[in-house]
Amino acid sequence: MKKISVYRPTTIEEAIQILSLHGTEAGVYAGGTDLLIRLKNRLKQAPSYLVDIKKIGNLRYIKEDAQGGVQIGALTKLAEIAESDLLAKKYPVLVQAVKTISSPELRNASTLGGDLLQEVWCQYLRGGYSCWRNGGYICYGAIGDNSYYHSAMGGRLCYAVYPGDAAPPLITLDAKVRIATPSGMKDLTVEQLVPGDMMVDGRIQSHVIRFNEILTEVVIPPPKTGFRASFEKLRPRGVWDFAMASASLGLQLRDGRIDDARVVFGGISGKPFRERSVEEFLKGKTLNAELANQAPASALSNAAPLKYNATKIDMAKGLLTSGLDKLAREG
Amino acid sequence: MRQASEKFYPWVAYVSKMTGKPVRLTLAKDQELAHMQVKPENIQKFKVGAKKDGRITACQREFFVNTGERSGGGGSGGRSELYLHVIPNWKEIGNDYRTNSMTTGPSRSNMQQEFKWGWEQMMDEMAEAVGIDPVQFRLLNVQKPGTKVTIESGGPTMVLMPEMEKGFLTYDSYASVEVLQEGMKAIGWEKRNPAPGGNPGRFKRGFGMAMSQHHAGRLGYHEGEVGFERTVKRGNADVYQSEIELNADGNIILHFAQPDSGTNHGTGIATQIAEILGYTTLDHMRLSWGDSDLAPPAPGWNSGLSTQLQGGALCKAADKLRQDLLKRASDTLKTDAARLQIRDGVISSKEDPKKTTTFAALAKTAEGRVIRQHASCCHPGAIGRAMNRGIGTCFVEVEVDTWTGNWRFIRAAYCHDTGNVINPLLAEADMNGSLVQSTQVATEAIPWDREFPGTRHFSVGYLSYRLPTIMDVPEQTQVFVNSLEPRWFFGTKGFAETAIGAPPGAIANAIYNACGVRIREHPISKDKILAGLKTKATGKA
Repeated sequence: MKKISVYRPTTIEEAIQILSLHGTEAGVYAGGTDLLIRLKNRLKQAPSYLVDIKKIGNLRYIKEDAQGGVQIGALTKLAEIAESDLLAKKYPVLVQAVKTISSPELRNASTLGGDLLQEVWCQYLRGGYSCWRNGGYICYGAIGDNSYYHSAMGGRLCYAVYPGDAAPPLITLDAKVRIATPSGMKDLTVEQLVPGDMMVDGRIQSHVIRFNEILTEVVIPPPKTGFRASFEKLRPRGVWDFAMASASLGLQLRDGRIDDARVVFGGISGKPFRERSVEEFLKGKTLNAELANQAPASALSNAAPLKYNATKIDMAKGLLTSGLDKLAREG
Repeated sequence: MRQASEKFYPWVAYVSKMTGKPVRLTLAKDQELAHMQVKPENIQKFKVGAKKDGRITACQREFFVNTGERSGGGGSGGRSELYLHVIPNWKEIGNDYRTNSMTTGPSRSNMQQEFKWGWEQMMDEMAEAVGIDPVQFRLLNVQKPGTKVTIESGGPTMVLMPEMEKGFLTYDSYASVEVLQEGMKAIGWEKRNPAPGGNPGRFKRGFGMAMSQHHAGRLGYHEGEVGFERTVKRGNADVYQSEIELNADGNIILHFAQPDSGTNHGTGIATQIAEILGYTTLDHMRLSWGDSDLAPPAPGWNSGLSTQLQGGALCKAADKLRQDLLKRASDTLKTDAARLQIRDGVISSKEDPKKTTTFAALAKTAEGRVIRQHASCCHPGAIGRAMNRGIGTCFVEVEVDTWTGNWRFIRAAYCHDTGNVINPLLAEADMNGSLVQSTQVATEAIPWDREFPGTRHFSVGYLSYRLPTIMDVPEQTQVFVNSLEPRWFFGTKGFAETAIGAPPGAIANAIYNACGVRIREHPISKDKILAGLKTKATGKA
């Protein structure tokens, strides 16, 4: 493992100063379940200066705001979200999704911010191949064994799938994030936060957080009457693994008809893939089992599977049917 | 580290010599996978003919095995499924080829799961073709007690046996029928779909089964048997030696070289020795294993031989020690040895309870204050004393989600011809592990990269090398068939690898029964099930 230095700032401002000082050589260290593995795997792209933000107060909380929404600190453990009565009552879909992340042991260490911003888990990157994200100029996933960790919806430079499971339900809930920057706070939607592989500060990453910025909070708007949501994830084993495909659905219903819809697929693309054509298809229709069977025909028509991962698309469509069927039965 | 670690021995020895300290080498998971051997890829092609009544009349199997960078990576061994059946005409064409892939060889049994994956699916397909239940089809075609085996029909690892008469060996202690019948009962085979994929609805359940036969080496010869003398004289036998020692504290120390591989076989062995020496508890049993300075030589552990042959040598040594102690006590107590009894380290006269001595007292008077006995066992070649073989079955129930390709391993009945089981708790634990390991062989790809072979394989640690988790392990019933085996200590048989080859074929057959998708190409995966369902629905591959 490379030699590293660890800073333990106690304020956001101090942390941002350190990050600014070291540039892209530094990285934010929270739960460590992604970062430390990259270091142990000796990845060239792993940072040399770790800015441990766990000493900073007031980044770990789940609280209801005045409007009835909920604010979650970026350092909140995934296990705390999974066990939160408040979230289970207001946003069961988020709790449901978080419970499928990794394993109970890892959820005790991993944070919400870390899940949103984690590095991709492509076996070539993690195996130290000199790919786009690791100092090279090729995507091995695009031409290699791409059955699991790679996009079936096309890509730009890096074809690895976005691995987080919290982002899809947060997008269906229309959640926002707060980011501390050297010039103050800024807000983005979760969808804006993770647009897929982007060149940011000279490196490829799945999110838009710059080298000297820190994600501090996730804000979920108050739940509306008539809103139903579901999350389903398909993975190789019953625990631990990332999604082969997942589907997060959010439907705003009035008298059994769908006023608005959010459909977000995970595990199939370089970003949480919001499928607007299905959303349009669903709007105005009556939610029932028949609709669940019809919806996949309008889904993922722009799929561009690689050599080994065409079935991801069929899995995603199956999950869409399953989710709609489940929501129809809830009525 | 397990297999293929020999190449590191010189370096470990060198570092140990230089530092004067014990050295333990531990590789990171990706390096371990790269340097240790994995099961080889293979292709099997069958041509099989059967009569209308279901009896197989002819079988040709052609196989191609990737042996990696070396020859003999297991390609020529372990194809015992062919020799499990009575097939009047058979032909086998084997092709081993070398490649730049990582080292291949035995891993969680030698060539069992990968060869039976093909064979047991073929048997399922043949049963369907002739319209017979798969269990009945096997009952028609498997060898049974009384089946005569020749060198020619016994398979490539068969060698001349001391018991061979007129060119034949006859199966006797061999529960091939019982492991089928008991497995059917345990899983509830009558609930199997009569038509594959015939159940209505999104979630479809199905049943499957497969057989496994491996390692007759579980029954060898012990010192004192004619077969032992003949086999050792022949010069190519693996000899398992053991030493037993009684010290002046009255404790029994079992010296054997084989380390415990996680099976806890030492407990099973110690239980037998305690019984032979008249102890009612294990309190005075001491194990000293895995140290070549303290134990006589023995081959490495494999093939279900540890309790059987290493343990057999200890049983024989314990028997000698018992005779020795009775003789010493007879001299001390001036009583005929036949009139003495042993219980918990005390030797006493059956007629006169006042006449007693103890193990400890006898040891104290011996030279060096210890009494030692030594004994050996052997098996006569790769398959051992082929009057029986390790045989088992695996019956499974699965559920397939036809919308997503997801599947669940619901239940398993894992049946073994065990002979007398010494410690049922340990036996169950071992077999639970065996089923989990073989399940992984069925569901996980060989860990090298299909597009960049010879470079680094999947290397996201346990995220790429997917051991089944607690969420993936089915409800299990271990069925032990206590078949009669009078030739060995306490009627035991080795059974580490009885059913171990069966789970991959059984799971594949169950998935076919559940949803009608036949997965011939390893591994079983959700995407293959979904692709198969799509092909079935649309008629397009």
